[in-house]
Amino acid sequence: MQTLESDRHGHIRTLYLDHHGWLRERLQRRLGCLGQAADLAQDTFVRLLAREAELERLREPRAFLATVAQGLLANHWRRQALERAYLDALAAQPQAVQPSPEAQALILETLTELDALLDRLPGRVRQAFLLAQLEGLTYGVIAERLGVSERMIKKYMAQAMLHCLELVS
Amino acid sequence: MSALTPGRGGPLEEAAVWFAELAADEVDPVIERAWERWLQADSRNAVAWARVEEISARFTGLPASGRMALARRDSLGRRRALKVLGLALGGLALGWARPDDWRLGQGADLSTAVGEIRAFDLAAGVRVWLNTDSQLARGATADHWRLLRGEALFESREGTAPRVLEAAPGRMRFGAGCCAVHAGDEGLEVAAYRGALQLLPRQARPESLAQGARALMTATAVQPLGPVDPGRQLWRQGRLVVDDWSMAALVAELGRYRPGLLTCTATVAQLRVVGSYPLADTDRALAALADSLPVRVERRLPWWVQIVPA
Repeated sequence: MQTLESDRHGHIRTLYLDHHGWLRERLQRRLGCLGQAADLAQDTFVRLLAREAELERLREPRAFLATVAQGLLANHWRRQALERAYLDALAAQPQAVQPSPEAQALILETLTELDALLDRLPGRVRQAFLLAQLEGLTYGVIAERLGVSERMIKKYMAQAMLHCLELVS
Repeated sequence: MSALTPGRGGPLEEAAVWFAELAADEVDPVIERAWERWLQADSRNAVAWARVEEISARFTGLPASGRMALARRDSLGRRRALKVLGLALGGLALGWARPDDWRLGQGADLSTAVGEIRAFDLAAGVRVWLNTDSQLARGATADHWRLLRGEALFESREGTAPRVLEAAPGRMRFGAGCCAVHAGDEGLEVAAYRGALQLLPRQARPESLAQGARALMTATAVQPLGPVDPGRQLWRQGRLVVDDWSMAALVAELGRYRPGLLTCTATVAQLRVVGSYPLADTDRALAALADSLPVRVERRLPWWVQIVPA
């Protein structure tokens, strides 16, 4: 007998039973790893819990699942690219200044957050902000690199900071 | 949401502007004193400034390896990430999402500087106007174009072959008629002024857009935005025609045509504005605004102009 709770999630249960194996198999083909594919498939269905209203009107469950999974997969790739870049940067450093594995994990976590914070900014705005804040380049040099005026660089800097302020607060 | 929405005013916006000024390598002591006065003028300013410092420290406080990773990931990683996004579940989505890297232009690009509006003939009977700070790249074939940045308006005579415009969230197929596209933070805004067109988001089914309709295309959906505003396309003639806009919206729009920053205080942000403003000379547009409304144009920094109560 169904409880009220399971009734509420009935759509998701049906979706899960019908399509979970299919989704996991597709993800595994992309990721080449069964564990990661299982995790992502699971995460996809967890995301659906927050979108039940849409599920009731769903005509093409697989297209919908694919879209949700695609977002998660993109995050996964993004994180992996960042991790690779970080490990490369570490490898270029002398052994003596290597942070501990715990410290590395924390830094990677911070990098992922900062990367996501800037993700939706237009390309040149993000680049100007990163060149100034991470590489300490002057506005004049950044302006030359991006082919715009210094005045535009200031505008970009304000734009990037306001974007962060609004996301954080 | 993500672009600076000038005009809403408020301490966060002002704090972001002061940050941009003070993070420069050389700061004029006069400007530093002006910033101190701003900081002390209102306790909310001080709170906003503390947030700015906290955010900035999250970037500047990273160890060298972390900074290098984030910077390098930005220059190399994103294009690949974009490509992966197209490839990732390509077969899984609806089967026709194309994996090619649409940003790789071939041949000469057409572009405009900030404040510039220009017309180009793409082919016999097909003309495009590029709005301020825009870039259009030639695609692999003569009827294929890519909008890399900004806003474009296409006008094609009867009998011209259908064309494809590609942008980050997907493609648009259009024939004879007149339509406009604007690459914004949320997606591609499309207006079908004359003639219908087809929108093909990267990860959703194609949808038609009827003549007279507007829509926002994202990678995963096409959201209707109601009817077109015929006055909106007059930018190609160098006019911004507004009918009952908020000051905030007008300031955001005029700001696109200026290399510096244009904002307004929260106190005037909700004023309603009607009129026709010249885009080639936004200083003149601002002066006209001050003539007709209880506002004043204040140059707060060499690159920052703010509309304040008169």
